[in-house]
Amino acid sequence: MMRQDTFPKNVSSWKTFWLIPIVLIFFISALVSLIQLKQSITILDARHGTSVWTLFQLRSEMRRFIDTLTIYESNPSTLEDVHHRYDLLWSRFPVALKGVDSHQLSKIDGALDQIKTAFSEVKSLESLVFEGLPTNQKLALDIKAKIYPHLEMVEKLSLDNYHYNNAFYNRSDREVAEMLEQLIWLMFGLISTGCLLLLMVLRENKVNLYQAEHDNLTDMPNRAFLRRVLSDRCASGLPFALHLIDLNGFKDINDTLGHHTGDLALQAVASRLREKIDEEFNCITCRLGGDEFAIVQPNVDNEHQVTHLALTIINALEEDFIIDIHQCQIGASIGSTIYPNHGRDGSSLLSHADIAMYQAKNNSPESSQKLFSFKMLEKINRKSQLQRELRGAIQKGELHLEYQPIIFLADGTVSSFEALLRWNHPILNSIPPMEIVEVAEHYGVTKELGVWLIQEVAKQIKTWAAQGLQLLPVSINISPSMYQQDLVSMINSALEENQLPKGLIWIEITEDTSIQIIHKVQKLLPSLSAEGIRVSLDDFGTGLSSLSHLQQLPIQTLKIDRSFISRLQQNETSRALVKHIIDIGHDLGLNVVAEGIEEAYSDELLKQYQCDYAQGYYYSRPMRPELICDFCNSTTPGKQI
Amino acid sequence: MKKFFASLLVCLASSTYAEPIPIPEGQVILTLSGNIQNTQDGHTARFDLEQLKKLPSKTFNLQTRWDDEAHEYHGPLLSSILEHVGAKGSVLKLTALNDYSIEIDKPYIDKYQPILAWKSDGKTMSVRNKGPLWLLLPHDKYPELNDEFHTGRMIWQLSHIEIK
Repeated sequence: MMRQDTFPKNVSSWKTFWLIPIVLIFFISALVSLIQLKQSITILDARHGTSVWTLFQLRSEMRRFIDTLTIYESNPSTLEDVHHRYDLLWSRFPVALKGVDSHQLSKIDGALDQIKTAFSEVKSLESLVFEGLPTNQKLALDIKAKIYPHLEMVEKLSLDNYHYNNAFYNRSDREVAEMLEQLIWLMFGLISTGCLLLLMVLRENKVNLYQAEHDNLTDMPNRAFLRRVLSDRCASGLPFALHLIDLNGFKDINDTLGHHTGDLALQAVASRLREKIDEEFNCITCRLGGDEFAIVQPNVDNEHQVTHLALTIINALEEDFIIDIHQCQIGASIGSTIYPNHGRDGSSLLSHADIAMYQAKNNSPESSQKLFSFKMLEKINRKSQLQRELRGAIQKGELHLEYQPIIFLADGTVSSFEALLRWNHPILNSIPPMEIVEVAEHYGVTKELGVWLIQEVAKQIKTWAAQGLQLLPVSINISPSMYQQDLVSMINSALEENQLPKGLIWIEITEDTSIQIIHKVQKLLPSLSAEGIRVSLDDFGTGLSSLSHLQQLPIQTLKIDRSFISRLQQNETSRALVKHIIDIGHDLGLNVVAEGIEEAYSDELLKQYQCDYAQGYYYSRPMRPELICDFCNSTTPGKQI
Repeated sequence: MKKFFASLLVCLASSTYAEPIPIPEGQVILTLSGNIQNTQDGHTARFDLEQLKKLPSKTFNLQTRWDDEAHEYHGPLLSSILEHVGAKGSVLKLTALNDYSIEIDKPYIDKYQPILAWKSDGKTMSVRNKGPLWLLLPHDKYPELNDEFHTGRMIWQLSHIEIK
């Protein structure tokens, strides 16, 4: 826990400390690089512009002057041309020596000086050109000789710098050298901070990955990690086992000692599993959430090893935990699966382990383990099939009721019927009523089932009445969640719809279920009896019976379970028990019905014990409703219970 | 009223009839040819400085890219010369003494109204100082004229204009 608290704090302060300078260096480097780039572009852009062009012009004017002089040597009439060309040559110099071009030329070492020298030379020739030349043609040679070196100079200057414009990088310029050096540092800054940022991102990623695959509370690997491990192991193909552990008694700790203690308990469990299982057996324990853990057991050769480890886990957890100052017992229900026997991928292994774990949990309140078997799956499949089909079955009329007469022992007449639920499943054949109720209960279809049952019975009573049968009550078995519905109005409105008087539908409750919800039943049952709905306590004597329930439950009838009746002939104890149950029932003012009478001996004995009513194959099997009329006509309707 | 009619007649005459231009008395410094109406010999119109001085003129105070300071330049508007010769074409080819030449559209001239400067700071410009005529654009008033493309049109030692 401490590690969890301090770890992120350190990390965040460390991060802030380094992140600020790193990001700062990164941005400054980037910014300066940008400025440098702009400068580089400017330098590249700062060509010598029109100045080189001006140099070319100067050169060509010099050349033309020389040419004119050459012509003049043989043709004195062209003197005017010479003067004209001289003036034009003269006019070229100020262009190079003033304004923008001169500024551009000043960047070329010595260029301006050379041009100025040339200009002076040209100026100095003025008197020769205008005064000497008209009288002495030969002077043209002298003048040319003086111009030539300058022509060559200008030519070289213009050509060199024309090339320079295209060969920027050949220049060993101080500016460029400085910039290169700066650039290296900047690149170093950019690359190093970039790398550092990258490292931080990678590190963050690693931390995130760790957090994504680990549980905060126990620092154990979590479900995501488990999934990865499972898929890796499945890919490797080596057999291994997966144990799914659900803690028993953890909820109590949470509820009674608070969530903080609950968290401590989970940490204690985690560290015990790490210590005694992971380290000893080279396993991987993961916390899947809540009080659910999973253990991957590698190198499994046989089922025995799997069961052995499961027992070791149970033993490890069975030892008392001392949490805070509390001594706690924590058990475990374990479902185990083996790769590849029970599944070839992570999901199926997990879901199969889950099924086995629930089996273990349902089987025993104590710590226990179940190894998955495909039979469990069949059961689950059957359940889920029944669940899917129950609604449809109600609508399609696949459900029907059979009725078993309850006989008034004193004269052997029919006093009432018990309605029994039947489902002829097209594939699974006859489904036992208990299973139907269980499925309905488990998947929340009880209300629909209850409504159908009550209406079906009401309709049947009316049908019988129409066939001339005396109105006899029918008792129905209702499932525990039906108590939550408005049972009274459901029964009464069903009777009313069929124009039947109240009190023709009774209910039977079983001891186990009614005890689970005894408070609700206590509230509900008095209103039932006020409406003429009698309540029988079914299967009395089995399950977690307590005589005090007889006191608490406002019932009118007691039904002795068939297990006592079937042993009446052989078993003295059974006889004694039945006799006394009947006596107690009578003493409490209850009617007593014996269930499961199959032979004359029992019938005789129960009459002797003054049992009020009896039900069983001895009198009649449960029958389809259309057979009831004939059966009743053969007996005389008797006294009502 | 008389003046009005006189000028009206002049206008009519200049637009409808070729008006002969006086023969220059001094040294010819500018020759126009091509699509012009008013000539001296049916083909060209030649001008000496004195004739040009009489045309509507303007003064620019400019620092050109070939100078380190501003100077006062004075000379006739190119458009007034074109009008004077009854130029009809849309493109002008201007040629300098050193055979450098450029072409300019007529609308460009109408828009920027360049002058052919012959005087700089009160002194007549010699060939050595870009004379006798230098086409100058008022780039002090039109900043867009301050690039190499436009200043490249500022032809000096101008001697010949052909109207196409």
